[in-house]
Amino acid sequence: MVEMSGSDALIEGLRREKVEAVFGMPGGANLPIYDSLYESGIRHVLVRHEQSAAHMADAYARVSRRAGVCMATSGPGATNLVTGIATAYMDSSPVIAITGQVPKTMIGRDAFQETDIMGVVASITKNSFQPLQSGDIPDAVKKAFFVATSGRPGPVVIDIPKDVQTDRAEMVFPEKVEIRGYKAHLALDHAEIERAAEILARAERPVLWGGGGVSISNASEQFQAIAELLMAPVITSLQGKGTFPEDHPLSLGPMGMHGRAESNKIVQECDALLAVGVRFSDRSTGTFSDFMPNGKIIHLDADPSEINKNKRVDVYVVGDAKQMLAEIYEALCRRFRQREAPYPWLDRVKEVREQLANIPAYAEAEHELSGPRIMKTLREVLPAKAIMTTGVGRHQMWAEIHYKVLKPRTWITSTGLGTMGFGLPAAIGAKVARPDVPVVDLDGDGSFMMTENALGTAVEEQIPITAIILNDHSLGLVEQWQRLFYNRRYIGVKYPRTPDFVKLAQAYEAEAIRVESLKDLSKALEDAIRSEVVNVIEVPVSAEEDVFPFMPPGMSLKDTIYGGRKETTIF
Amino acid sequence: MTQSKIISFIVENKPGVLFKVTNMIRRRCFNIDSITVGTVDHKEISKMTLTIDGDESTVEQVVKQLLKLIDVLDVNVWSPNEAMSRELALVKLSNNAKKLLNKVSDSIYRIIDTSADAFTLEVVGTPEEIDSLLERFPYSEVQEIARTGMTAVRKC
Repeated sequence: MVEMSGSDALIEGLRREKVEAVFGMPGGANLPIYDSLYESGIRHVLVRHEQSAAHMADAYARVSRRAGVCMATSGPGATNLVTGIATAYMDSSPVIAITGQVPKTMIGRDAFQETDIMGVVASITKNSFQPLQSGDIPDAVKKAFFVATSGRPGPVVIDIPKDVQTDRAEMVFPEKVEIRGYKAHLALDHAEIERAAEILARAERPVLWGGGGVSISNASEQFQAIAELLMAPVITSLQGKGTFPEDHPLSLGPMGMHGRAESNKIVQECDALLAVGVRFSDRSTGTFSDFMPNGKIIHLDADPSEINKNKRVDVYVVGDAKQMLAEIYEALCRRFRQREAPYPWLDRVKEVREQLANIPAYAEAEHELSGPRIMKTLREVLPAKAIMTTGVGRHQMWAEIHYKVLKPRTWITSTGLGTMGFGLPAAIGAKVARPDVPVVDLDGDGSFMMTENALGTAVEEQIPITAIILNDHSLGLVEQWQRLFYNRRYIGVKYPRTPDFVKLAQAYEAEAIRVESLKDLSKALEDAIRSEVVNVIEVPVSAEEDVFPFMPPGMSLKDTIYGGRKETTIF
Repeated sequence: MTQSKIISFIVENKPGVLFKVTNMIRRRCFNIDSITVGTVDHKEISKMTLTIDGDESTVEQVVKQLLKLIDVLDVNVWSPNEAMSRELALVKLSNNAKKLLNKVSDSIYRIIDTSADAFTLEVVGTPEEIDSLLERFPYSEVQEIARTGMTAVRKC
């Protein structure tokens, strides 16, 4: 036991969790915490807006598989975190958000900068803690990290009234915590593992579907082993991109609204689908009732509430993906011999690939700075280990379809919440976690402008990331919907006067260049990732180039449009 | 096909837990009929009882989403015939209504307060029994009603 202030206990708790960096901004209600941070040795990254701090912590967590920590003061500081917390919640990312709160005696009196952040975040956090005695802080910190990082990860808020930060107490730092209402993982149901293996062993047309849960559980190796044993084609969710190397012969790419045409088609023909760490998002499956009406579905997930939530499945197992996949692999090996290619299902996959190879969506565009061609160029330049973060919009969808992710945790994107403005701060957080690899924010003008002030943070903190802005002077994906579904009645989507991004970046003292060709883009990107400074590369693109394939909203995978006009649907 | 279910669950007796439970129900658009809460056994835990009319998958989701809340310790789901369920109603009636009482089975109520022009009934029974008792009194004779919502235990 050692006597110290609540804020000292908080920082000591963070040190014990081996926190290297926190992202945040001080204010009236968290000054004691910042004072305790002063001599802690923990790196502090000062943001210009708290939303960015939450995204940085989120990306740090996704890249490192450890909790990411952000901090804000009470009131507006805390509410500015909310978009970032919701983003982390939807994508199951272990973010610890530490907020200052007005002193206990002022809570409920509508004090200056008071917000009921515990109430605000209730439905977008895994849990939240508000220690009301300084002596409760070590336990709250330990529990927060345990809850955030275990089971299905997710954000946790620790809200600390200012007087609790300053009050002194005898502190006991627990080595382990138990929460009686919380089990990270239930015991595996071995009978169901056997049933799953039986279905897969008998399947003639198996498909594997990998989601974010595969990366979170570090289970890519086990996932790949099953795919190769069965010789099953592999599709992913958008979040699961990179859980299986997309240059692998069995890889079909993501499935969904802007998935690969091959994936959208093949999944409809399979007789057994092994779905791992996915949550059957409507953006992946289309209309739930039309998804996989015939084949058997096996669902492996960490979260029991995801089972049968959107789609009834035939067999499910709840637990840690790595362990479940390892056991299914063993159970398969007992009843199944390594399948040799070719066999009829892979022949069919090959046939579908060939049929779809020349759909309009995959045809080489004539104009040079077309989305798909830019994506292929980026992949040629960037090493396999490079991390790409994205905003939300056409650039993200083009990357989904055309940028092949080769390693887990090198594709960091907001899929569940679809948070514009995620890309730039996420790149900064990713780079703090992995200073040894190039980190590129692939962005659009609309997304970039939402959090562009994070450039200031990157420059000041010497975090050398590269932002690539595809500038179409438009909210391009929204414009596409207005073009296709609202008869080109464009409203509220055009930015005719986006700033000169080169000048804007230079004003922040970043290196910046505008490129007009793919060759110049390659050169600029090569220079940028070799440099030790922050870079911005602006690429002018057309707002008229639609993203295809496209499963229209509210429709099914069989309704996927392959490009151009609706008549080109060939299902 | 919807069916009536009683969901009885144990929670931590801490500030904010009732909010977390009801907020989850609101957030997921579960349409519940009633919810009750009270401390049981010792001060650290409370028991909550909710009743819901829903299809099988809705009930399944309610249970899973409840279990996902860290402050929820255990959840039981019963059909009405598997549980003993009771509700308490306090009904203030004008004295004119007294004569109507003779027609009612006397097992579920007692008079707990009287005055020159009104009296108060304490009624304990299943929600259906209370409903059918209340139906006997003309609207004009009822001055005030308070009901607790249902609580339940599994049958012996």
